[in-house]
Amino acid sequence: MTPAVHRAWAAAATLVVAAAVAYGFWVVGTPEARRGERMDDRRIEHLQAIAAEMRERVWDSVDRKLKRELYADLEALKADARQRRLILEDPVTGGAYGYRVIDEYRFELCATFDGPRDEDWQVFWNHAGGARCWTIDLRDAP
Amino acid sequence: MDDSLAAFLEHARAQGLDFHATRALLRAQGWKDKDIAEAYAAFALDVPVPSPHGASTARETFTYFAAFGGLYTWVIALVVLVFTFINLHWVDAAEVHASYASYRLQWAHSAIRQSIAAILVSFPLFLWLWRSILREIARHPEKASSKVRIALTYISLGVAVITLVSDVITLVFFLLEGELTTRFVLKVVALFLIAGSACVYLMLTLREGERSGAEARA
Repeated sequence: MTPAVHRAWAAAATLVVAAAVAYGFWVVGTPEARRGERMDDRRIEHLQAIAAEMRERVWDSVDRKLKRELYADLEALKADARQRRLILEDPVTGGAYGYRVIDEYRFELCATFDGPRDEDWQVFWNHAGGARCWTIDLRDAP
Repeated sequence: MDDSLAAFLEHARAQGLDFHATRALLRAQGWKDKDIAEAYAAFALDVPVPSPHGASTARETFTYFAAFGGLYTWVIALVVLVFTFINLHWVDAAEVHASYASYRLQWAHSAIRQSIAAILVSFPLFLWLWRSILREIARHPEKASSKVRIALTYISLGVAVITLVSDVITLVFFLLEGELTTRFVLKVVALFLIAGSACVYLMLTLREGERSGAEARA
């Protein structure tokens, strides 16, 4: 076989492989985008942990009544936590997650996301990119 | 070659010792026949001792194993990549999580990233090793009939042929069962093209080795 034939095969294989890899990159997105996606997953986990801990500390789910009033700030909840060590700061910016008491039963949790979440599970927590707040009702918690 | 060995050979000849006596002395000291023969040939002869046809060095064996390892890695990763693309575009409603886009995407994206990683490392490595092998053969045509090369090529050819035949058998079976879907046919075609190209290329390189072997023997 002449060198030209070897080169032709190498060129053809390189072309096919390069096309497949390029298309693969196009499908999965850049490493930066993936990194942002993973950071968003961590933010959601942090918010979920805060919401769950708040509900367990404040709401008596058997008698369906308040055990105590909502915590005035997340630091107080973290100090009082029983199940989880709460993380109250964004893993990238280090800024505190937003928290606001709306009324006796409801509070708001906020974070800023790199990209959208569009999962098939825990759909309550799906979001678009950018800042987003969730209103959580103790009587009907996610 | 060891300088002390050359000096000793020279001294031994000056003292009138014949090769058998010199060899006996060196062997008694723990030298291997191969070292003695190499030193003696370099000392007494101008033409290098030729290697027998099909002999393989450790270095050559390593290069071939590395090259074929790289070939298997990228070809398998390419097949996985293409199958994953097909799965993403032609969703089978019977598939686990078929109705759930994000589950499917997560699985598929992870498979795509793994395959891309495997290809990005193994494909350039393979091209580089294969090119150095081809250059070596261009310089020393008798190396095309190296036993390692021919054995690994035949094994790979066997794997490729078994893949092709199983591919076609599966196609015919699914056809008879009336289960032909676009997605399935595309996978069969993709596998056929990839394994088939590998098959044709390997057969061409084998023929090359046999031809140069015949020329070397003639």
